[in-house]
Amino acid sequence: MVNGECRKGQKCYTVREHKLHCSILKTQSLTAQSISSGKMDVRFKMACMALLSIVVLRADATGLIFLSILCLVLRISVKFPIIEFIRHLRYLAFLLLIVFLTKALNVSFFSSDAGTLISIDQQGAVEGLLICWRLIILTFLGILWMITSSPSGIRTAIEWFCRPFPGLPGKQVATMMSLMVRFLPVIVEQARETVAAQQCRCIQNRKNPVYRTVKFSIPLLCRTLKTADRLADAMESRCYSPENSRPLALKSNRSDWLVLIGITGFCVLMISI
Amino acid sequence: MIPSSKPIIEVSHLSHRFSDGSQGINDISLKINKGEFVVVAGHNGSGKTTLFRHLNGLLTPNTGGVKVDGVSVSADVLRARQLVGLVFQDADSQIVGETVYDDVAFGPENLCLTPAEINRRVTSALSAVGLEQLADQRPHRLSGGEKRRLAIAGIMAMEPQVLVLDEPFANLDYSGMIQVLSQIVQLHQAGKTIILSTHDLDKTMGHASRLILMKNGSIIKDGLFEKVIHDVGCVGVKMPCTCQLEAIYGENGEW
Repeated sequence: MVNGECRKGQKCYTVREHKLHCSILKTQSLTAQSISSGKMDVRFKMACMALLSIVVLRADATGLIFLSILCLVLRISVKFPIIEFIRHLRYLAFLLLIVFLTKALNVSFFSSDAGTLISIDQQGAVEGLLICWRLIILTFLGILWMITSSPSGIRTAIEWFCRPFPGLPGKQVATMMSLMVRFLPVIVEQARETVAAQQCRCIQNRKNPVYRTVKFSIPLLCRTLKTADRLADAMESRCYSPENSRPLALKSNRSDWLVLIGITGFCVLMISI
Repeated sequence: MIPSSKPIIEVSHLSHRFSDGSQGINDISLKINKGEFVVVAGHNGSGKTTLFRHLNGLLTPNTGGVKVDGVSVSADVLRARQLVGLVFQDADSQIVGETVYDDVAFGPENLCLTPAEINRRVTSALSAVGLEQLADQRPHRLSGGEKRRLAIAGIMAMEPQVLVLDEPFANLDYSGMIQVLSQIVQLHQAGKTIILSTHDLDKTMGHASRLILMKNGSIIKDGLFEKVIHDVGCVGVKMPCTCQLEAIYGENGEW
């Protein structure tokens, strides 16, 4: 279907472009099916995400359009609600705004014309938009990776990737990561409790931020260290030892390899165009 | 469950002094037989937790020693930890997995079992505590009672002979307490030796066979639950309501 419309309503004007679009869409569809089935090996998922992240950082506007289409296909197949993504993105919005403004605005303190101290640089604005676009795609891929992978799968994959490096304690790194995932909500909850307990005793009447920070952080730090101490005891009582080798339950199949090859091809195409 | 006459835990002249110089426990000797349900009671700081930590090999004694199934804990700590499962007072700091399943699998993984055996033990432990439906749930989203049951499941998956529970009813509401208590009773009926500490003896009355009273790091009474229960006042523990009523109205319920 040259000089016409291929799947997903994209316009293709030459045979080369048509083939390129079709191969890209085929890769996208295959990747989406594997990820949405939730059975893709986490190691392959990590490798794909790493490749895509490199491409995102190098991509221009055309490349970013293709990558956005890939994200859209993945979003639909994973059934990841867009509202949820926007909710996650709200934490990043401030950073994106700063990045955009830094690139787009020209501030001149010694301007001869008294009325134009701040001006918008068109080229800078385009660059700012591209950087924000890249960051949004990277965030989306990261969130997608997190929601489609089990924490134990991620831990095991990290352990597997660390194995070839003799100086790197893979098991300890993986255990640390899993403990971080496990204990972040506990620390956040403890921080909330500390704040609430101090508010009950009218901490808000103290206007000195240093005093408030010290009174908040020291008890929280003490509680966190005590929790860490109890955790170490609990792990020891359940026979934990860094020397124990844990069986790595990782299994790849043909579709994992196909997705990896497809994504690699996609990335090569993205870099070449 | 009828206790056997063979001791599974033997503590002889055990003393422990902390690094700050304070005495944790002082010259404790006791024997606990297989299949017994023992309650250890005493005020805060009486040495219950310190004693429990010695049974699991988390602390090293200054004098004396602990034997589990005839083997000294200090000689083979791993064996002791496999045979004596310790459930901590604060379930939150005991749970190490990112999901309920992962947490229960933590112990068996450390025992270097095969994936199939790990899966069997985790599934069995989760169904025993009624948490199989929550296997993929994040532990911090569980209720207090569910967290305590998860902590018990994590220990059960290691298939210990003895379950040591430090204040298992602390910070639990009534339904949570009932869930945990029924779990403990079922485990005892399944042949496990149970040792637990509590301030609230009402809950274990009728289930426990033996009561040990501790004060200032020493055992001051040890015997049949029904006999020792009348002396709990001297260690600062509240006497169960039924015993108080019995003291007022007499055994036959008369003035």
